[in-house]
Amino acid sequence: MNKGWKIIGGIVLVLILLGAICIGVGFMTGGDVVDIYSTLNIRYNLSGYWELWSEWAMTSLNNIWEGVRQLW
Amino acid sequence: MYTQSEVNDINKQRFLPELGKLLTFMVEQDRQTALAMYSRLFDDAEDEQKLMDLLVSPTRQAVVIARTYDAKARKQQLESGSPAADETPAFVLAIDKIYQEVAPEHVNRPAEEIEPAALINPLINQFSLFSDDAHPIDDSEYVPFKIEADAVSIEEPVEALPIEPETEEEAPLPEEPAPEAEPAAPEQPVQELPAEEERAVPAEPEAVPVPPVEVEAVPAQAPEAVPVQVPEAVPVQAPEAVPAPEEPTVYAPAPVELSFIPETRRKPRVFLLILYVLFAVPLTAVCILLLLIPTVLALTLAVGVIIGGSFLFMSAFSGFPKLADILIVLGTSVVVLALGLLLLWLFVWFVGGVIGGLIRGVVNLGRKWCYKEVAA
Repeated sequence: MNKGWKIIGGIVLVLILLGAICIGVGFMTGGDVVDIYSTLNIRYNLSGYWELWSEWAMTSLNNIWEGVRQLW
Repeated sequence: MYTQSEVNDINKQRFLPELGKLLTFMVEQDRQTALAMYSRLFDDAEDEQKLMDLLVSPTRQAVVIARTYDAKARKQQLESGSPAADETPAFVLAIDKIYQEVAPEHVNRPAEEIEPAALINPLINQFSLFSDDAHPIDDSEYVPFKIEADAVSIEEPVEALPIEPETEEEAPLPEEPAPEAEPAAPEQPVQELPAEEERAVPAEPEAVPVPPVEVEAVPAQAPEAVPVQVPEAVPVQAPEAVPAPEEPTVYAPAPVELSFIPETRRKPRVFLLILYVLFAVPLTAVCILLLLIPTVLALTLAVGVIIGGSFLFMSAFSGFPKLADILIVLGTSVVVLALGLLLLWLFVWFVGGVIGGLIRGVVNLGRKWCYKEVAA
């Protein structure tokens, strides 16, 4: 297991370093997060998923809160 | 009340079997050497408390040897017969160091006093047993295992082992050979005759017989460097002033027992075992259920993150007009995939390491508490 941790840790560190370099180079060469978000939103409807998840989370939290109050 | 010698024997009988078990990682030849040297430590140590303080425990000594011993390399050296195999191994020096502390008066003792325990393995003599730079052994005085022809009366021929020296020059010749001595006497590689005791042997018709050589303790390789010429019968006229001892002279101490490891088997303590199972199984089950929560959570997160990262990675190559945006998306996807890999490994670690380790620990604890070792 210790050897596994070392191997996986090494791979993860290398990938994170590589990703960070890519992100850095992208920002330095004129990359824009707003453009990226709008492109992904059009492709995957991210805002729709976000609203759906927000509603589900709020409803779940309200239900839990009500249950706790009734038990109290 | 035990004498010092008896106390040493008791400690030796406890210490050596335990050490023998712990040294199984060594090459058998070296293991026997180490055990013989430790045996001699107990025999020669005058301050048993000091010896035990130095040794601490068999485990400690096994660790000391293990630190200086590379079994694989040593085996290769011995098998290939390389010159390095003739050098003194580090473990011999380590034991030698202890020996010099507990029995400094024995370090430079004459060769005739070396016990058969040291002869079990020729390596011991080969390594100039228990000698160091501070107490060098003079080779001119070092006549290993030579039986003084004029000091003892041996009426019966010594049983010779089928061992012969490689060359005639290696055989140490007595300075003044007795005229009756036959030149082609049988050779005996392992025999100890302390000089003091030899001279105390009376010249009686019933000459003290030479004790038989421990053939089982002698390794297959004959110690070629220590051939001894023994005359068949050398009558000696002892001075009358020397009183005859009542007890027969012991030429050699008891041979070192090499079969140290007793056969044991594990016997369950039934009541304790039932009690342990009754408590351990439910407790372990609860612990495993609790550990399953983070395990499943790690798996879920890992799957989600890896799927998201994969989508991000694939989307980087379609829909983005600028290379800079592609680089940012690619970098982000790589970081997300790395986190997903870490979460996946966390799941594997929970299953194989934590939960598996918990089960193994409970089983081992049960073995330790609920079983006892008894002689087979």
